[in-house]
Amino acid sequence: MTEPATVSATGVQLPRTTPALEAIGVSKRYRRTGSWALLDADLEVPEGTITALVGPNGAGKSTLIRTWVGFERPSRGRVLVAGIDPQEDRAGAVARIGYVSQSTALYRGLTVAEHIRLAGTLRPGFDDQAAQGRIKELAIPLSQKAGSLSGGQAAQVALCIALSTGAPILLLDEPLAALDPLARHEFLNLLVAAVRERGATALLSSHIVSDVEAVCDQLVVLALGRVALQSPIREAIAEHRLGPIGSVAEEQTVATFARPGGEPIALIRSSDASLPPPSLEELVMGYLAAARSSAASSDRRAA
Amino acid sequence: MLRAAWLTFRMHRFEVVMSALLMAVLAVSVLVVSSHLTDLDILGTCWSEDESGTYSRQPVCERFWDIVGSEAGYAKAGLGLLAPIVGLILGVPIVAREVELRTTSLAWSLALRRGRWLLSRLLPMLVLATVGFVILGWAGAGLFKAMEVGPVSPSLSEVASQGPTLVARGLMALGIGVLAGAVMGRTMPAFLIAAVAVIAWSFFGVPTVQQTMFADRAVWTNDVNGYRDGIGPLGTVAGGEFDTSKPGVDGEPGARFDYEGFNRQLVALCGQPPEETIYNDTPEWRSWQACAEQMPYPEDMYWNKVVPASTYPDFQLMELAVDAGIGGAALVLTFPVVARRRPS
Repeated sequence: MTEPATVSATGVQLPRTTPALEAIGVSKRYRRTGSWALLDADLEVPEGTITALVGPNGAGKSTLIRTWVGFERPSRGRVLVAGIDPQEDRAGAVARIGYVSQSTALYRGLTVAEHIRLAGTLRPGFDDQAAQGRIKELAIPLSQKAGSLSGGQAAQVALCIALSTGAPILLLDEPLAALDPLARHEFLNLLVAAVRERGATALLSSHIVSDVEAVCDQLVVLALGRVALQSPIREAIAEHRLGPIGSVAEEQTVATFARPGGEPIALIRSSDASLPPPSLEELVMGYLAAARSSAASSDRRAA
Repeated sequence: MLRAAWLTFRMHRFEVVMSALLMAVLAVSVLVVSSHLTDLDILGTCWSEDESGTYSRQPVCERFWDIVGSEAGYAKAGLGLLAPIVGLILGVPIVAREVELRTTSLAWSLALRRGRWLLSRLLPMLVLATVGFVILGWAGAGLFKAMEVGPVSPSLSEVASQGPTLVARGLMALGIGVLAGAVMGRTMPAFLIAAVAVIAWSFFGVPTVQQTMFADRAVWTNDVNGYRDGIGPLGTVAGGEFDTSKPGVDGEPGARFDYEGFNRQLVALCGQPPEETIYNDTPEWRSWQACAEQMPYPEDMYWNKVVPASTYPDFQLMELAVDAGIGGAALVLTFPVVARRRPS
């Protein structure tokens, strides 16, 4: 069923169809630690968007992404990739995904060119020429061994491989974490250019909000294994304001938190033009504080 | 496929180069030792007098037995050990290394089916190992042929160090190694566990299966008849691997002969024997032997329970089947393990 059109970050009008990625009541408990990495997470990533999956370390971002790739089996609920459950049809789901893992693990002893050849042997339809072209554009020597690449170059090689699969969905699990600002900038430029060119969907997880602000059009805040906020970024900012603590009714207040200077402030659900809108970072801070406070009060009630 | 094979070799080049080198060095060594033994050409000539009525080829024969006792002995030991070791070296890292170094995240997100990924890693290693083991097995068969003099057959354990049995043992180790690596996801612990499994099977499993399956085919024979008739002992200790509870000729389990008592009587009659030479072809020996022949010499002094060498092919077939079954089962089991495994 086609729903009203959405506007992607790339400026393209997109009819709403099956979400590229879905999580339906997904919970994941790791047997070894007994801890819940995800708790009843519900999420939809619209096709053709670049979505930021934001949350602190341990929020469950990697676990959620890995369930879409079929690397983790949800303890409850299910995930879908373009309508396909990876637990039922892993090949079908993986065929639609280009994935860059958190550690951007490459084969240290293989050259960049050999990585491209390897990807060609593993993924039907892998575009060797496109991968080589992208690598050359980035001035990364094809003959260089992966073990001697810088963190930024390794991440770019991993991204080039993911892009050259031709997969319509890109899952990028904190690829920016270990990169310096210039490498982050180059990585994001490459990503946006490729997504714009192909109209693909990308989900980019990060715990650094400023990284994703410029390139993403959708925001998902994950905190303590739950989805705390899911919204287009523009709408989310337009629908929230910052105000002094206690200035509005409690039900309008998302959370109170301290700004970097230590000044306490409230994040409010409001479009009141007389109040300043939050920055994306403040919006995320507010929802993380709300999730933490909600968990603390649940613990108190349980106690 | 060739591209995937080449990349697999590149990823595991340390193991591939080391294994190929070890197998090549051993195969060449075995061929050189075999060639030396064959060149000595003692078959027939050692056991007969030459025109002058003496055993003039004795130094050549002594050289032959020196080589059999030293270089050929090391080569035999190498043949027995190297195939399982190479199997483990090549097999364990196939999955374990990738899990350990986290490259499975890349590989398994690209490969639509992990089974296909595993095949692309496994097949090149299997081909390399099989080619290497076949060469070793062939070289080993040559060595044992070169060592054959007279009617004495090699023991069953020696038979297993050559030919198809060697190939099967190596491939079984490879299969166990791959499975252990996939289950544990860490190379060194998996190597140790797989090595323990292979050693346990080789030293305890195989003899137990042999004993169970072939006990009724073992026969009692005395040493003299055994060697004369081409019946070799089973394993390293004749009778040691089969039921020796059956009373022997002296009524004792295991058929003991009072060798020491016999010797005491012999020394009392003829004195101490002279210093031994390879054929004891000295006047002193001839004189001492003439005396010794006065003693009643029992034909049945060394009785043992053995399996005839003619049954060796059956043993080989049995071990081939069991080794192939274990190795094949381990490889097949690796596929569901990999399919369910969480990449690190």
